[in-house]
Amino acid sequence: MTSVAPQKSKSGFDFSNYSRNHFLDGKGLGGFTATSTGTTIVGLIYKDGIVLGADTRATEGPIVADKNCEKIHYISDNIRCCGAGTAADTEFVTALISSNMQLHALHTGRKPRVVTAMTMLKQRLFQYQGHIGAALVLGGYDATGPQLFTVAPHGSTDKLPYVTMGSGSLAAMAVFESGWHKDMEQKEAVDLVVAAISSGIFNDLGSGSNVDVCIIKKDSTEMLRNYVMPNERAKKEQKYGFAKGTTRFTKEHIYSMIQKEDVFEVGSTAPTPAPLPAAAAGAGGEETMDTS
Amino acid sequence: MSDITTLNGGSCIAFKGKNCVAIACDLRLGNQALTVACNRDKVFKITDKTYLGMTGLASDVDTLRSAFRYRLNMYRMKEEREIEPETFAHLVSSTLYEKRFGPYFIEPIIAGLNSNNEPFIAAADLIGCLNFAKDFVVTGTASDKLFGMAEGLWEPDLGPEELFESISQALLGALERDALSGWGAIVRVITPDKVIERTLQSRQD
Amino acid sequence: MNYLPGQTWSSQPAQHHHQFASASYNTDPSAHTSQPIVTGTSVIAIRFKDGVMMATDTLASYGSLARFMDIKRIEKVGENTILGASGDMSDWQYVQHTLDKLMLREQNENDGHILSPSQIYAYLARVMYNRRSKMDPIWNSFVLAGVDPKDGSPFLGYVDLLGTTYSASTIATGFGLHLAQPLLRKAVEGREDQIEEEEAKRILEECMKVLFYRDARSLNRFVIATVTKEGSKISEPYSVPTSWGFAEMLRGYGPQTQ
Repeated sequence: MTSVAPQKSKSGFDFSNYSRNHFLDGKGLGGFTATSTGTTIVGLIYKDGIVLGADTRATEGPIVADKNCEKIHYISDNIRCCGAGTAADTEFVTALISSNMQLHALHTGRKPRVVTAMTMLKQRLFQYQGHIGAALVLGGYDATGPQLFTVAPHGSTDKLPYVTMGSGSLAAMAVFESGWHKDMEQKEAVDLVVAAISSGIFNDLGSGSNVDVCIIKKDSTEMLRNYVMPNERAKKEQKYGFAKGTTRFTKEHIYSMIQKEDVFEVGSTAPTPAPLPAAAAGAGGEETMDTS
Repeated sequence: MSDITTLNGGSCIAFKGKNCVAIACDLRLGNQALTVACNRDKVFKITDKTYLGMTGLASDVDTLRSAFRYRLNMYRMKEEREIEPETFAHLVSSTLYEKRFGPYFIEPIIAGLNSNNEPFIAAADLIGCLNFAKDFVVTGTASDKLFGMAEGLWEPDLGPEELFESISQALLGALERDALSGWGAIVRVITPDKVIERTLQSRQD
Repeated sequence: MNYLPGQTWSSQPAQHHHQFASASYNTDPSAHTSQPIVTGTSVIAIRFKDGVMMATDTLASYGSLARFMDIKRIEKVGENTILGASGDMSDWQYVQHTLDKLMLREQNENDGHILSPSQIYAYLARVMYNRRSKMDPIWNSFVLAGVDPKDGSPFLGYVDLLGTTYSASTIATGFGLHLAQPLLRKAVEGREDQIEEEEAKRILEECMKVLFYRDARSLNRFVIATVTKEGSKISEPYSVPTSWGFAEMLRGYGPQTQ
């Protein structure tokens, strides 16, 4: 290796691997699957504010990588953002904007607004021309009232009273189109969101597991993680543990983290040392403690 | 060969237990079908109680080992304490996301006990999306088979010895069916006062 | 890498671009249908207490042009079966003609037997599969519904241009697969034998409304066809009320407020 110490990290993306990866791609050796969130995410405006909903499955190709991931991200106390698309992108772009929102709030001395987060997100996503694969449902209650937006990966935004995104968006939108109306009550709104996400979970293969709901009102935000869990695994009938000694190992090494100290006092007032106890059992003279 | 991530082979798995975690990996290093070495450990010590396992392209694993060693030492000097496993997981995540448009072809897993001796495991994809599992994490060429084995064998609240047996059987079972991983395995069980490292006998093919 | 064909988690559902002959001029004397030209959109159907019910709109599109707005995409096949078609309309007309010939021949036998819905379905499925095996598909997705006159048992089946067949208590094709199927499943599955005709009609009307809202190649003018033990009937085309003012109070797409 030419340099052992990596350069001091500058902020932003580092493109130094780009030419190597591009070369590999040209030879047909590309092929990595990033975690995608498949996903059903929804948001709607009701009488007192916003209800956001999301499923909890993260996929890597056809495999479920995370059975219970969190797709409703924190932007500020009164603003949340659901994310669909490439999981790492939604995670980092919402974390970045959340951090910038906090700085912005300190700078302006005002409570943060949803349109600020929306503008920061869309400007960043447009700058990267869709290569940051984040499709977001942004909702919150700020000084101007309840606000709900969608932000697409290329940077376009839509302002609507009810929205769905992700692979399960059609299944969820069908439920919204039949059930949404202006000024719903809170229970009605939460039930509709749960029905829409469940529709995505059961009809779309890219969505699954549980339903997360977030209710944002004028003075409070309630995050209901795993609000409904319709896909709990059935309890195993038996235990499948193995008896101790089943696995044969050829070498064993124990790194004890407890440092043994033997203190010998020296000098005229030192007590006479007691005879040493019988040699302790254990490999290499270490006392092995049983903590199982 | 279809992709660069399966060039060298190798797999890794971590289980969460009761006040302990276990992390295990195979020992093969290959060049497509040719096995080049049978002693390549894919799990690295981060602190006394935190370990990092990395599978994927071997040269990227080595590069990142150095990168993490540097960042870890800087952390230790600035903070004057050892890093917590959860913090380290986020450090891994942001290091990988820096290379979002030209990533390292690796998939890391982190296992450890925090300063309150609570068990912690996490995995990330190659661009840093973290997965904080409450049960197990798997990575590598045998990941599909490891998912299956782990779903069947993992149980909550296993003690160190039981955890060792379960994770070993899960790994060995998966290695039976993966051509690109194998040639031995090392399992480390991390408990509050010691780390038990055992080398398993596995099929040598 | 997306190595499983057909698997997509993207929010644009995969339009079925089947790998048949490319759409360029053909030097062969025989031509193969390589792309649909005049098309019909979704067909939706459910099984209810007394039989089966199906709905389609009356639109045949020419790409993005709403060309023919008074097309019947559901037709009777004999007295106990109805067939709904989505996809290429010329192939639909060919299939209608083929099934007419089939029913006529049966009638001419004059032996007291008539073809039941499941028998017509089996015939149609074979025809579709055989054409696809010659790489010259009938570019449609069909929903065949009926009630067997001998024992009153309802039948509801799907067959498409690949020869894929399946039977269920709720069926949808085209965009209906993504938009209507979730609603149909929620409303019908588990309680097929308790749904009365009125409720079945309301369920289908609700789905046609949602399809009109969200399918860009649909029309708010549709027919509903019902088959019961007593026989089959196809309604006259009608519409449902829709509301488009849901975003009246919103302005712009971002911070704009006026």
